[in-house]
Amino acid sequence: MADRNLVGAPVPSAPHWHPLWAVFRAVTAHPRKVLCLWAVLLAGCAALIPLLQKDSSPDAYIPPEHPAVLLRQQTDQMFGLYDPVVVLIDTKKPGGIFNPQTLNLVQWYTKQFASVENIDASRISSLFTVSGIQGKEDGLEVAPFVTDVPQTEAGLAALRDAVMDFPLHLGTLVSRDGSATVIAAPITDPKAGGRVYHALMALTSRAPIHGEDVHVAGEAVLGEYLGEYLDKDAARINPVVVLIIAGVLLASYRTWRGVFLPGLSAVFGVAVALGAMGGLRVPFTILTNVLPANVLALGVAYGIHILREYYEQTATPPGPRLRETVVNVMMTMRRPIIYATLTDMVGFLVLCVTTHLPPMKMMGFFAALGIAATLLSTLLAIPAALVLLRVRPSPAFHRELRDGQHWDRWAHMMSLLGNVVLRHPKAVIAVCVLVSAYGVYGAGHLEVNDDRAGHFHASEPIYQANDAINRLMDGTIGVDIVVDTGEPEGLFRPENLRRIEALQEHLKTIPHVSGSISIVDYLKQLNRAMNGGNPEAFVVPDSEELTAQYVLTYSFSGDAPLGQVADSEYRIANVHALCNTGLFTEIDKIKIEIDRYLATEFATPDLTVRVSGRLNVYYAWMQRLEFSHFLGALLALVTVWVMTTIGFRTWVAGFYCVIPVLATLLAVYAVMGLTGIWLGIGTSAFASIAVGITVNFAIHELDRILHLTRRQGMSLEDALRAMYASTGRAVLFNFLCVFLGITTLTLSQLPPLQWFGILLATALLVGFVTSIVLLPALLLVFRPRFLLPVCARKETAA
Amino acid sequence: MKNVILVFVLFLGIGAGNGVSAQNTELPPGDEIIRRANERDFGAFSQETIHMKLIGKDGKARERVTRAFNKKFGEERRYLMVFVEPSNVKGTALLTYDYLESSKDDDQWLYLPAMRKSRRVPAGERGGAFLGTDFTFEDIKTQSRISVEDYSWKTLGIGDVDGHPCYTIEATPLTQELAKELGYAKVRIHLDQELLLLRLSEFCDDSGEVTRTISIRDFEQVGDIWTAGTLEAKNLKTGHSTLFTVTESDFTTEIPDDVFSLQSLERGLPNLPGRP
Repeated sequence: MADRNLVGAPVPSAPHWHPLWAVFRAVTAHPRKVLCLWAVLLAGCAALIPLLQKDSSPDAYIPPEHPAVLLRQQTDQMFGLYDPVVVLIDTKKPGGIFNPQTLNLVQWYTKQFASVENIDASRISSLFTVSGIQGKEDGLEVAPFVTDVPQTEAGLAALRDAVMDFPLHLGTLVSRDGSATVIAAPITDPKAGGRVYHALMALTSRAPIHGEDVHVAGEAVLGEYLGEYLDKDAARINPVVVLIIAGVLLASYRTWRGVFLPGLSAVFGVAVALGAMGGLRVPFTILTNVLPANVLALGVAYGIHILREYYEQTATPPGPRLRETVVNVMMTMRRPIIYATLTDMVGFLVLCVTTHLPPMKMMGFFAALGIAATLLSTLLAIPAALVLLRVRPSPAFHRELRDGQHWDRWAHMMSLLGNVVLRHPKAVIAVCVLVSAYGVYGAGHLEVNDDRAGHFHASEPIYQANDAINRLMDGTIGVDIVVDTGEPEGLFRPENLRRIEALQEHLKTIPHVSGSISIVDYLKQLNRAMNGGNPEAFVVPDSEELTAQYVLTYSFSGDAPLGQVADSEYRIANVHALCNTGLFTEIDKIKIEIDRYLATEFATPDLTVRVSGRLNVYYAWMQRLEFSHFLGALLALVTVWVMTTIGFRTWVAGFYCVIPVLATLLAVYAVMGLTGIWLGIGTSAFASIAVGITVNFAIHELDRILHLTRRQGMSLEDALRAMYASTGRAVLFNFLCVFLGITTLTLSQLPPLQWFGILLATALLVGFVTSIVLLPALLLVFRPRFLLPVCARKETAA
Repeated sequence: MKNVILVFVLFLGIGAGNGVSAQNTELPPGDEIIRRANERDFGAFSQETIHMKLIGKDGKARERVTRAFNKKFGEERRYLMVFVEPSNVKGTALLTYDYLESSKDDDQWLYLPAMRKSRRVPAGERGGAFLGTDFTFEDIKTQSRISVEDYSWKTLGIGDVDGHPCYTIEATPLTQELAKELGYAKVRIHLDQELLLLRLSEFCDDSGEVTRTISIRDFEQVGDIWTAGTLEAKNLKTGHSTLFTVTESDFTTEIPDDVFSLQSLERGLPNLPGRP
């Protein structure tokens, strides 16, 4: 029975019961009520959109219950660690920062920091606030390095000697070559990072700068700064998407209903998706920023196919009554539209299932919800609107009458393309096989990588600031190695301290780990200071008692930084290291090397060690990225194959639908591998989405071909010619809508979204081409039996 | 900057009879109440044992026990604090000369038995943590005498602390720099209306939120001097708290001058007649 496969058999004008037929009858009987309900739902969902809350923090990319996140929170809490906002002052002057002008600038910023709203003024770190531990002949001195800017050469030289002779702050407070220094502080409200950044940039514009380079950065402002991009991106991309899609729709049918009916259906889907996110308090992240463009671009495609059928049926006189025509149109298109929707949803839902990144899960789920809502709107609101509108032919369908069909220049163009395929099917297949083979080769060169700083363009000040910190200081990515001795004051034992010292020595040998600090450094410095500043005394204290007494001594100073390197019981130490790269491939190597060292050197029951910090969180981000990406792509392929197999009632037809999609993926991997585009956080989402979208082209084509061959008894060649001019034309506009809509993501200011847009658009382009040329070519060469009418198949079998 | 530290003996200290009548309905100005509270006799010398309990947010506690001595030398006071427990710091001693002139910093020497050496060590900042506890050096100082000239004073009214009527006085550091140095924007102090003993201090940040409290309890009169038995500082931001328990207070046993010398610093705990 034709009703049981995707073949859109025209529904007779006589009553013909089917659940959807009953629905379409009801909808067309009460169109105003349906449209009122639609408008109420749209308004209700739109009202929830303002409740959307942004979350651009790095922790948004990983489940809050992930062990890496929990461990980092625990470590931060235990040692009072925080993500700072940082001003870096870099100078090329001889003698580095140790000149009156630069020191004045440092002092100026130190004072101004306190006046910036949302900066914790009690925890500002700079040369003017941080204490050094220095040994004098008769004792110990713990005091800020400088309180007033020295004005003499001797004073400046003494300051330089004091700072450069204090290893604990080299690389973190002052660069190891003395050419740069930082002023850093925590912010009191994590949501205020963007405001703090702008306040510091405003300060910088009136700072007493005399040739110094000043950069503002820090994890505390990075996330919120990124959040500002979300607003800018949304304001830039969404209107362009709407304009482009409206333009394509107008070109497609040259009628306003051809623009507004598919367009408003897609807008309904976007409103439902965003309204649900707002109502359920699901944060809006960088990744969910692609949702409106995706749902809009995909959503209009369903309406395009409905209207193509509507214009075709209303253009052929004498037509039945309008209501019957609309019901016929909907019954004809119901299966391909529903299947196209389901396959689109599959792409997003698979993403939702396979990814470990919460924002991507949310993007997958709510995009699928938006698409489902668009389908609902397409199936109910469009027929309701069509029966209320007077029949007016589309100018695009009146250009020419040929073979009983109304062709325009697009239909001609597709027909010409079809002729080429019909003449050279083997050549088409050969080219596609070559491209796919090249894709396999390219996939082998695929690099799984990302860089958080790479979320900004290299021209952005915050990118340059991050780069400067990584270049001049010890780095921006922290790793905390938490060593638990298992007993109170276990850190006073010399043997434990020496193992921590050895760990720090090993960290120095790992590429990109620039420096580390622990309680051992403080104790060595105290030992040196208590021994008159003798450099040879910069060693671990040789007895438990001496260590305990040094710790007590340090507490007399009123300075309390030991809290950042040891817990209050002196049972647990924190070895805090900094890495000067944000590249995940390098982070991966660092984490593996640290784990290897700890597994061999700390594999004793007396000490337990855990690796924490931002580095560990980033490491966790990327761990399953490659696996979940390929799993997602595979799962999407298998699902669409199963769906098309069920729809066409033969696994062979499903196979033919999937082949162009597979070729598409391989072609995109080839592009990625050969151009060096990373498979990263942003780009990893493209594959399963691309599978879901591009298979639609094949579904629409095969559905039409089957209808023409099996129901109308056409030869395959004739069916293909007819398909190119009608369905091929609709698929072209479907492709143009989705492709141009997705291409607007390249207008984003965020490189990951740009890359995502480029990859998905590339996939769509290749998917369209392979579907429109490879699928017919395969059918022509292999002539599968499922194309034959049922009776012919029986005869052949007999 | 003037740091007056290690004045444990003065946690107390107020001569009986300095009290303000609870029946007074006219509330005196804040600075006047503070001046009266500062007019007290700390005694010429004293010694006591202080149990320090540092309690983390997780409830884990570290304890130290010290024996503290002080004696007035003309216009200055000298303090000696010797650690008794835990064993790994036993014998560690700190000698402080607290000068009256505010322009002169305290002098401090530390003896570490593991090094068998004494070293001069710097005095902490006023707002700095006292021995890594939740008390600041300024807190310790204000237990004995409060710098009237550093703050603007306002009597807010009479409240109740642990069932005792108290003057509630708001002190605001006179300058931003001072507020920064002290680590708070305002402090509300609650002074016992009758005895003028400091019972509660509440430290506020710029937004007026209380970030730290110090409560002083278990007062006991030793001779003419009131001494506090328990002092508890709570950091409401970190959840950390510190409990000082003062025992074996002795205001009568004479302490020889040489106990407060560098030479005796290295000899360890003074063996005095009054020592329990």
